[in-house]
Amino acid sequence: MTTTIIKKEFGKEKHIQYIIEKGKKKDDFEYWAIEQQHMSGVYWGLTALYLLNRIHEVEFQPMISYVLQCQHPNGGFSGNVDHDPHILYTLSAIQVLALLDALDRLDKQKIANYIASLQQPDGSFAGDQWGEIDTRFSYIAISIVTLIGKREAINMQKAVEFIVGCRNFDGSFGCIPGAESHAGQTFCCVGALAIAGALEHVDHDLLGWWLAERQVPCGGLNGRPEKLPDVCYSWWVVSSLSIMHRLHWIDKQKLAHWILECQDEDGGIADRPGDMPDIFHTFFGIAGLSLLGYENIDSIDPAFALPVSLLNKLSIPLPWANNNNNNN
Amino acid sequence: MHGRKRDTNVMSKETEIRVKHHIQARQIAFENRLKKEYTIEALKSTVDCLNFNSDLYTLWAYRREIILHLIEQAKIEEQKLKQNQVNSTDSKDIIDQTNSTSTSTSNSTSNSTSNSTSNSTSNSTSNSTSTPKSAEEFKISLLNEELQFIEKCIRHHPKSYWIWFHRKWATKTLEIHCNWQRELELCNLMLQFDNRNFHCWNYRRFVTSESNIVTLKQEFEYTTSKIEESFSNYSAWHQRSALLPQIQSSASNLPQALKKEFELVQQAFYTEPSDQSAWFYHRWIRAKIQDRSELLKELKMCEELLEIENDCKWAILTKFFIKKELNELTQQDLTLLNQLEGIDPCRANYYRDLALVITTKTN
Repeated sequence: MTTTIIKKEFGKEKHIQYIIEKGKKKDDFEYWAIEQQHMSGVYWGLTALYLLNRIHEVEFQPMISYVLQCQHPNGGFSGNVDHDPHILYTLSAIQVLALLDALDRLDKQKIANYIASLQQPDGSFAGDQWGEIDTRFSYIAISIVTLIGKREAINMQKAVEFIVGCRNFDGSFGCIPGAESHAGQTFCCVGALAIAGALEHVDHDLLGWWLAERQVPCGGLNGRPEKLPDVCYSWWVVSSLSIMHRLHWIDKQKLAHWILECQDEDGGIADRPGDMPDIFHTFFGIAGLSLLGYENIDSIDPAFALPVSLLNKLSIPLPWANNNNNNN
Repeated sequence: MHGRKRDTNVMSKETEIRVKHHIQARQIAFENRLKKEYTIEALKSTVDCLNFNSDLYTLWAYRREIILHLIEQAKIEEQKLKQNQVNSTDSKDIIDQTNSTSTSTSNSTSNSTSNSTSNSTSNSTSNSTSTPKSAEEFKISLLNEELQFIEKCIRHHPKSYWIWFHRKWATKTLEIHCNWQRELELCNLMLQFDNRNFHCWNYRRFVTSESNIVTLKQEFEYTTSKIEESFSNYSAWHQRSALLPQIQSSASNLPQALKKEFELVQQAFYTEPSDQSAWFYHRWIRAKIQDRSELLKELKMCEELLEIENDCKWAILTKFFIKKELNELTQQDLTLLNQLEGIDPCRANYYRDLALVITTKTN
């Protein structure tokens, strides 16, 4: 017996319009409900447009000005005007400037100093002066110093040690030592270790299995055992598996099909079928499809979460990249 | 952003009004911050904003600044009063001041740290409403009020990194005056609502390490109770994996403890064999125990389970894993992997890669 799977179309044009329209809206409930992470929203939207080859639909100069407006005297960037600097939005800001070909507008030493000031004696990184510690911030610090060519600014060995200290019984990673494994944190730790050149600390087979088990019967991925699938895990899980060359351990076609089911008919992608779309899930859905090798979408790098072509232009080495796609 | 059902993209009138109010409220709060207003009124001006959007991290930071400023100000005021006391020749003044600020004087003696907490409550019997609190009492009441506000926010937004961190900051700032029992009870409550809330589990670990109000063994027993409530509570199994090595600090105790773990895990398998959590935990116990006779026992257990549940993926896979750990895989065992490919097609390539262990060995 054969079953025909009706292939859902990828609504490229609708998603592009959705992203552009969302970028213009500054007065609705949704804007104000997440105003503090606007910088990340810009990164998600622009990277998605770049991958769809349509970044020139936005005007670069106003966007660059906006980003620079959010820089603070200590070198950090805030999530929006009015807000305090934080490591989260410093990465988003740098990623946005990279996409807009404006990294030369940065005082790289100043940023390096800011990142260095956030490193703690145990190798971890704080998010800001208040001292919250999280492996997300370790990933961000390692990514930033590499993107701006200032790796010597941090103690890389200690940074790696801290991340390894967050590895759990299942081979996966949490946000601080002792914290439960989570696919989002796992992306941060695996990505960080990859960029740091320290992937030997990852048990590829054990973690690969834990990650492969994120795929649930409908084809979507969850973030940890017994949880619901969510499109954003199409990034967190898939990128980690890609870096470890074990992407073939999940059913890629089934996942791609499920991501397409999460599309909204008016554009944008939601966390799961039938829900409200948003920029966050739109980006991660598109990024996931890119890693799965879906046609017409440019390649995204699984560690830096930026287009491969952009990273090549910046001469950033990507040693985990697998040119031969047989295994992935 | 997560779990919102699709509705029309048009804002309702009610929402429009809410947004309008919020824009006005936040303008005031952010302006206050720019003007460096560190007052109770400024603190109040952030409340509506944070109720609308609890992830306004800059306003949580502002609240911290205000609270720290007020605490510092109270200390300075108190020092000034003490100076006046010392300088004043009016004995009546001295008596009045002593009644209201005796905790601050007792604080200056070297062995007074325990005294200061008990004094601050006993002092209240001599306080009239017009007598000012000591700086320390003021700090404690201000931070406890903050904790009440944070708790309200946490109940509405139990998965916000910013709110949980702010609570951590508030309790740390309270130091020895923190009611850690209350913090633990908040964790118990929040884990009743959602036993997988990792923010809460993290906070619980913070509370237990900061306070010493419970022993590691008691926390271990808490995980047992959580697992007995629900075998699929991966968070509780994880917590167990973190505690076990800490409790069994002497190497000689660990194997005994690990054998006991097999018993708990078996309860889980026989109750609900398709619940994955215990199977992940089992793999870890096996790796830690490194005891051939125990592994053979576990292999037998899998085979017995498979007689009742012959298509339990986890039991089949665990059987394969154990044989691999015993270094006893044979060509025969490829049938296990074939079975798995049939039951669990999503991970077919994973099982095919596992087969390479056998086929490359025999080649």
